Amino acid sequence: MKKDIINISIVNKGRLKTESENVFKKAKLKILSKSDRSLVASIKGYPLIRVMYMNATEIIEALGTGVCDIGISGKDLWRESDVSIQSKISLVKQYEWGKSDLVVAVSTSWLDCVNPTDLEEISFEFFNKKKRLMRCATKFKNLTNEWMSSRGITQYDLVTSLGATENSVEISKADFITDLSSSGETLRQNNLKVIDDGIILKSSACLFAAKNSLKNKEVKKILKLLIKK
Amino acid sequence: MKLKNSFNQILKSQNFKYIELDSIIESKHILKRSGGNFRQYLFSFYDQNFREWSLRPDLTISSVIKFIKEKINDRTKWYYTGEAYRKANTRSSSVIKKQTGFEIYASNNNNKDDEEIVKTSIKILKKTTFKKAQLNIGNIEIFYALVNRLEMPNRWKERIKRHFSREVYLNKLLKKLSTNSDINFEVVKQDKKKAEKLRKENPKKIFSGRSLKEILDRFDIKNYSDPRVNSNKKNVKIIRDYFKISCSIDKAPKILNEFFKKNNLNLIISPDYFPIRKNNLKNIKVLFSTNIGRSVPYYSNMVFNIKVKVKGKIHTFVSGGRYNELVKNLGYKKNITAVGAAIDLNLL
Repeated sequence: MKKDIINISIVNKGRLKTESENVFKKAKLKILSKSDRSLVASIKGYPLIRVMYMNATEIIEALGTGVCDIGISGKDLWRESDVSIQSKISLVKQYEWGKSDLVVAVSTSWLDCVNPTDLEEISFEFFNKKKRLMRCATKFKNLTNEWMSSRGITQYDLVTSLGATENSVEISKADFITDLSSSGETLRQNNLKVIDDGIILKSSACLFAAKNSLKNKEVKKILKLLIKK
Repeated sequence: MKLKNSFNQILKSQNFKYIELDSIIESKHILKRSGGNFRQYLFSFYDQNFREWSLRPDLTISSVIKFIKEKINDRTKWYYTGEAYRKANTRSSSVIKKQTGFEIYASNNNNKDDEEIVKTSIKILKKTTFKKAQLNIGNIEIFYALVNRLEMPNRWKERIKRHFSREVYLNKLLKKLSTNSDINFEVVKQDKKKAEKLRKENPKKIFSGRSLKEILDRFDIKNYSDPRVNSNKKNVKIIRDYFKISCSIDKAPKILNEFFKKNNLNLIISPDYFPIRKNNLKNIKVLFSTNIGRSVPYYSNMVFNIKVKVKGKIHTFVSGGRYNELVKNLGYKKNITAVGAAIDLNLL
């Protein structure tokens, strides 16, 4: 059955929402919304396009499951998503806004921990002395596991942290963390430092398309407008 | 099926006892005790009590866990057949590995049991239709001895030994060691100043799970008592050259001894060191290689594999080795030695 409506998802709040709406403005696509709180909108002159305001993680899932055709979300969330989702999404354009780095941070008092080689060695000593694995708080389990493995670090456990990850070390929930950082200020405020070679991913906002939808001429046309400078 | 039965008959005739292994293992046996090496390969899930379980990623680990549960202390010969379930690195690799494994625990004579495992593998190979094969033998103990003889900080020796089984990462480590590319001298200078301030605080104070004493002790070893020296380029070259050694098994002691002498390493390998010393065993070429057994994290001494050709491609039909640390690492109170091998039934 032919799919008529083209669904485009953008973030529902904050700076990412404003910046995403600017992308549409620059492409001369005027978003028509009933109110500021309305989560579904349309585009002037394009009756078959529906704009859906969603949570950034949900946008990735919606693209991967075919619920939407085009979306703007973070590169970090795309790379963190399950392979089954990630493989069904194409990155069309990476923007210069919404920038942040996913980093590995340890206590500033860990003077002997400067780089991943130190962290690997400390994790072994930690395990041998305390008979438990070192705990790393993160909301990016897949990306963290991938980075740890590439740096030879195997003696750790991941602890899920869905918010305020920076205080996980202070409250003894974890021994170190991986988290997003833009300026590093929050990390500094929480007595944490990023180790050398500790940037797991340089992220920013991206324009994505569902791979299946790229076969649709109308989707291609909209994408062309959105990536125009 | 006939082949599998004939393998079983060989193993029974050699007094190996058949055992059944559990299909799932509590993940902590794999992760908490032997570390997180296996995490990336596990298919795991939780039970109603939030205990994490995994499909067995490796039959040897299941066998060791059974050995520990049964609290055996005497020499034991076991064999088993079944499937191991492991996430694969490549799309084309199968996640189900069908294997027959056999092991000797608590050896009275390690060399004799190493020889028995290798010779049993050859007997099994001879029951197959593979016409030609190559038996490769190595020994990780030699690598450990070589690293111990090198002049470099102890923590680096341990690190290199620890990552023998992770070839790609070990290469990265060797690069860091030879170039000192991971040292930021400006940061070191600043940290030395911070260390002086921290020394005034209570050494028992805990920072993120580690005491200040632990942190400063390691800091001092790194920066004052056992820092990296400039000779590491030479050490890295020795390690890299060692991994290139491959020769017929009868020449191995001579070639290794010449290598050690050339590099002033004060090591000697005796001619009867290896379990097999003949170069040819009826259509089986026997080689010594320093570069085998590098994908299994628990091998500690003798390692071997038997390569065969299937549809023009070389495959490993048997792989095995000695793992003297594994039983203890998985929680047994005593040091129990072990040696074993696994046959890849997917190739039949």
